Amino acid sequence: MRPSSDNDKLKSLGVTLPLFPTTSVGSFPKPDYIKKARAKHEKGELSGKELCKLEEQATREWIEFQEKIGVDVLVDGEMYRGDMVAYFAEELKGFSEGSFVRSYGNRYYRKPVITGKVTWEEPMTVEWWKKAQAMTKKPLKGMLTGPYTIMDWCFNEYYKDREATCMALAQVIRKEVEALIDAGAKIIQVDEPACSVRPNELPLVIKSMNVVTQGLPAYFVTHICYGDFEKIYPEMTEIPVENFDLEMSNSENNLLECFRKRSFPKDLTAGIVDVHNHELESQDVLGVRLRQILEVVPAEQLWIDPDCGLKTRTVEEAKQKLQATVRAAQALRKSYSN
Amino acid sequence: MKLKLANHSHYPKIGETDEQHKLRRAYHLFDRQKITADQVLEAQKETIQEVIQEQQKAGLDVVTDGLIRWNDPLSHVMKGLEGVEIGGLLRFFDTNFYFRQPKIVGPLLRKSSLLKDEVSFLKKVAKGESKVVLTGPYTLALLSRIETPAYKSLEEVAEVLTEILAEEVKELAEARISHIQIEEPGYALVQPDWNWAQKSLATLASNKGKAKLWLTTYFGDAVPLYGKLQELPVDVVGLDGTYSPKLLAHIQKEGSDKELALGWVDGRNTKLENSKEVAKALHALDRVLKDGVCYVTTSCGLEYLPRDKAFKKLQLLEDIKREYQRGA
Ligand SMILES: [Zn+2]
Repeated sequence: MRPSSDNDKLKSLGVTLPLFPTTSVGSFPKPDYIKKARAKHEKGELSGKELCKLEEQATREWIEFQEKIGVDVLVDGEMYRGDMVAYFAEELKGFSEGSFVRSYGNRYYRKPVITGKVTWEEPMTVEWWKKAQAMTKKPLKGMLTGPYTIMDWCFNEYYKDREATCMALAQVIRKEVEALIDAGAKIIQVDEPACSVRPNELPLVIKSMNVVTQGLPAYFVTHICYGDFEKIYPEMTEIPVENFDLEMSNSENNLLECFRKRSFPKDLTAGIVDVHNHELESQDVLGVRLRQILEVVPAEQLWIDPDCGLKTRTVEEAKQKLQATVRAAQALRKSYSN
Repeated sequence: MKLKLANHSHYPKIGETDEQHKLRRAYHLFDRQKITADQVLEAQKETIQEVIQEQQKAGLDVVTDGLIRWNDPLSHVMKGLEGVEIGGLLRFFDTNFYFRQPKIVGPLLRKSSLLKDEVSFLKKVAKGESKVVLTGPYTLALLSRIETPAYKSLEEVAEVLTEILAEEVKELAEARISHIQIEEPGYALVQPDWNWAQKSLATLASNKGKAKLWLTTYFGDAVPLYGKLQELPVDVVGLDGTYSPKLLAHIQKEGSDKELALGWVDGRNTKLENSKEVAKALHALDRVLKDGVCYVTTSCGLEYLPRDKAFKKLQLLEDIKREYQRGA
């Protein structure tokens, strides 16, 4: 049995979910008209207001799709965000836009630079959360990037060291969490994909997440991906959130082996479809994956979603992958109710 | 001691200006079959010339070609070998940079020279001392994926790679390259069997001719490795000072039988160090390093930074040298 009853936390927040709740990691692909509109906006050919209107339309389309296929905990799909770190760097004070840095091959990105004291002046995601939540009766997750990942993915010219940077960011992300809660958000995801890169810094991830979540009335999720989980499990489960969203379709990450040795103590959102692959997994394959996971994770702890953000896929592929995920969860639910 | 300024290894391929974007544009157009391979080569050569000019402008004593033709430290060396297929992307140590993982699918064989073309171009363009980088056999083996029964262990692969790289070292020596840098960041990730490392470096050193052989580690605390690195048969030991707050005191205590290349300037962050403080740290080593040469460099290659910031880091090296000489 798990020590903390995280379902009780959800209940106390007034959220009731079925067995095997389905959700998404966060991002969905932007339809072509958004891509074009963003490019036009950058050139000054489209006003911010007009762009925003189109982003709202795309958000509504994604919300409707999630409702139609029966997703339980929705996301807004991040039509208005670019990169998951750059978005916050643009919104917060203390960052400057960086120049090009290569990530691999001929791929470059602009890496933000922290050049002053990082400060939160107003909510960055709350307006969008409110708009999207108003489009559905189902719960919608608040979506944030965690302080450790923002620290790791930016240059720092202001703070003394990595720890000081991370802890300063934790304070501002907490403010955003509080603003989301004030607006009515009950489930908040704080992503830390960089978390496993330096295993010796895991205590810093834990300490900073504690600043973000401590004592706040919300059910917290964190998404971690591309990790060398063997090096940080089970210590990573000390990150103070109720639910870990992890990629499980990739058998090479040995997560199941880890959980077999030491059972997973919290709720787990298991990614069951590969987001870096065009191919659509069959229901049989997903069924096998789920049964393997259920050998080591109790049913009442298990949530189900795709491995990672779906923004790398085409709109059509993303829809198919998400639908396959939901179908597999529904089939499993049915087999449990019989 | 006598300070010499050396570029670490790689350097940003593109910058902010349109002109500095030409290599990225060339690759893009080549992918769409809009330009020829020769035109890509031309763009590479122009970029290498610019990069060498920037290093000379910053007053460096030892330049590299910025590894402009390299996609990453693994695939560039391994792709030329028989028995290798280049696979998917993997994170390079704890950076946000990804390399293509080599898969070893059969017996490894060096069909021809791996770096010949780029080395001859470097020789042509660089006027003074130049340095060529080779990812070391241990790191290559550690980060590759063995998918063949031809080799049973990482050590076996590393041994064959040592033989292959020794051939490469021989060619570099014949081309009269003054500095050959073997990079083994893998040493800091998983320590090698040091007897094996001895033999591996001895094999490489036996072919170095008049060149100086460097053994460079980075991305990890060098203190636990320092004593072992000192025993290796190389001329220069390169160290990353950013992971080890205690490294300076450790060198002060242990001294050095080798020339050192000190990476006290962070190659991963845009913040510029205080040149006076770095110069002071270097003076702290005067007593133990005596009259020998000490290379001042960045903690790692500079491609993790934007081009303009990379250039500022090179200029900072010059400031440090000036401060050092002022305080002598
Ligand atoms: Zn992810």
